[in-house]
Amino acid sequence: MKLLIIFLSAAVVNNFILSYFLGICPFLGVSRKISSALGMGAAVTFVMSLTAISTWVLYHKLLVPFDMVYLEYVVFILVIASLVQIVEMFIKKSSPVLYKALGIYLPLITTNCAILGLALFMVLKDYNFIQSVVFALGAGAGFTLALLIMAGIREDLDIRCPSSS
Amino acid sequence: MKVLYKMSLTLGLVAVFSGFTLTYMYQETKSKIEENKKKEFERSVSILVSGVSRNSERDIDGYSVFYLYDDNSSLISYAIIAKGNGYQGEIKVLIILSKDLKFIKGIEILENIETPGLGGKIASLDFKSQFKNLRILSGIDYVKGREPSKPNQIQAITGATISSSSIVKIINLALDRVIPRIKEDG
Amino acid sequence: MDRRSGFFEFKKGLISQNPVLVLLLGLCPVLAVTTSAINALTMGVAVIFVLTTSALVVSVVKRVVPNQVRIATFTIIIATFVTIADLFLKAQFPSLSKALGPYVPLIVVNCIILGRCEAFASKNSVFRTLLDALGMGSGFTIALLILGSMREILGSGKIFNISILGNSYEPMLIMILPAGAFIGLGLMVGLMNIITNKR
Repeated sequence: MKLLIIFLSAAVVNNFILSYFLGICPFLGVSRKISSALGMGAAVTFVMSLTAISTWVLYHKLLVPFDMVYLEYVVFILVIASLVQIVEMFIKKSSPVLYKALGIYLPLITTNCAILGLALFMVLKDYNFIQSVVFALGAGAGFTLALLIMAGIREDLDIRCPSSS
Repeated sequence: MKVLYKMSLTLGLVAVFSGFTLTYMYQETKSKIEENKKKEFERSVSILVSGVSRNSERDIDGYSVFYLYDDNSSLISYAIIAKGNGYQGEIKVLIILSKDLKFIKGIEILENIETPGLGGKIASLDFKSQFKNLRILSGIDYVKGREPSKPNQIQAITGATISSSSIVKIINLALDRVIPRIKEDG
Repeated sequence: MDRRSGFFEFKKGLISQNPVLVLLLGLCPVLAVTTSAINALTMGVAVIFVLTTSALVVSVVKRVVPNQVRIATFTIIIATFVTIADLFLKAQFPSLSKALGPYVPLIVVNCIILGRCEAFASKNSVFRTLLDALGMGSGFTIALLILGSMREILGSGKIFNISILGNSYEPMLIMILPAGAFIGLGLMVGLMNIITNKR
């Protein structure tokens, strides 16, 4: 039950974009079309889940026992950068179409505040392993939701009053 | 291969530089940060209890419990730091327990990110003062929209029921775990 | 290329290429920490520190860093200085550190810093880099300060925790909530568009 609350809270009540303002850059940049919003959301959710798993293990099994918590930010961002690199190579090999569609925004997931924010919040809220994964899934779902809503509105606006840009 | 060598060397050097700088910085600030935490705790306690000259800390079931002593080393009160989920995020509460474990002498809200102007009012003097000398009975409770009728009740903030009830829940959970253990071991 | 004066490199970050209001970079902290003027100012100063130090280091080592690992290297450098800033705040200004919360470490992924390191510091002299960083950082801080002050005044009648609108002012609580942040920022960007288009 508590897991469901964590999921819903991260997805809706404390939506990463709309409440914590994390992930604004892609929010404004990728939300023009619903299809790209969906693709971005899926990629972010995937990276978030992997991030939650690896950062949780590193934090609780390495940094804390060895009193190296102050290296948290450096370690986390390196993990995220590596994960994004790996995911990028994987997508390039398995689905070149998706790779082309996401374009520059794929490597930009690294600097997406939402990913690092997820890792930081997970530590702050002291979630255990399972809770962290659920938290990541919820956050990703919420991110996707906000992106879809924005894309829907913008697509609609573009149809009604096509802008000159 | 030379390129690969250069890449690894660069990254390695930067990592070492980073590691050394941060370790140094950490050592320099470590004591000040600990001191800040201690000062904040002592400040919060002194608002609610006077005459505390030293305290000893104990961990009970994950809760930080402090035994507060005066100049003559006699026990004055207990202090518990409890954490739990509020409406917007985590709330950290300082609970001062009377020596006979029957009253809450007072509470202080150490950390909260509740909605300003609504749930945020849990940090206001009006709300906190309701906990001064609150009888514990089998726990504490809250009522909505009317004056409390029992000595262990407080009135929830209008428009911030969840934040108010969260505080009550957090306190009850802490008292439930800590009081029996104190009674057992002294 | 070097015909631009040093002063230009500093000035551009303030208005014509203001990172927040024109380039629309690094918006995450802008919306989150501008609930009060002092929070906005602290964040601004922290960003100036991290941006300046990171950009300087990048500019100094730019010829030595192989191309393929430059982003990773820049990121480690930035994360190091952010940690330094965070530790400093926790030690010297604990209440401000708590108020800003996780948004100080989030400076690591602030697009402005990586953006300037990549676009400018890695290609320009140390001196120009210093000016660019200070200009961009100041532009960021000014934008934050204006938004933060506006939200604090309208949302609570105070600025820097000093009451200026008197007790009879009924605060517009929405300004302190997320919605107020979006509204405030939107108005400022719109205003900026008008100002820069008029020229």
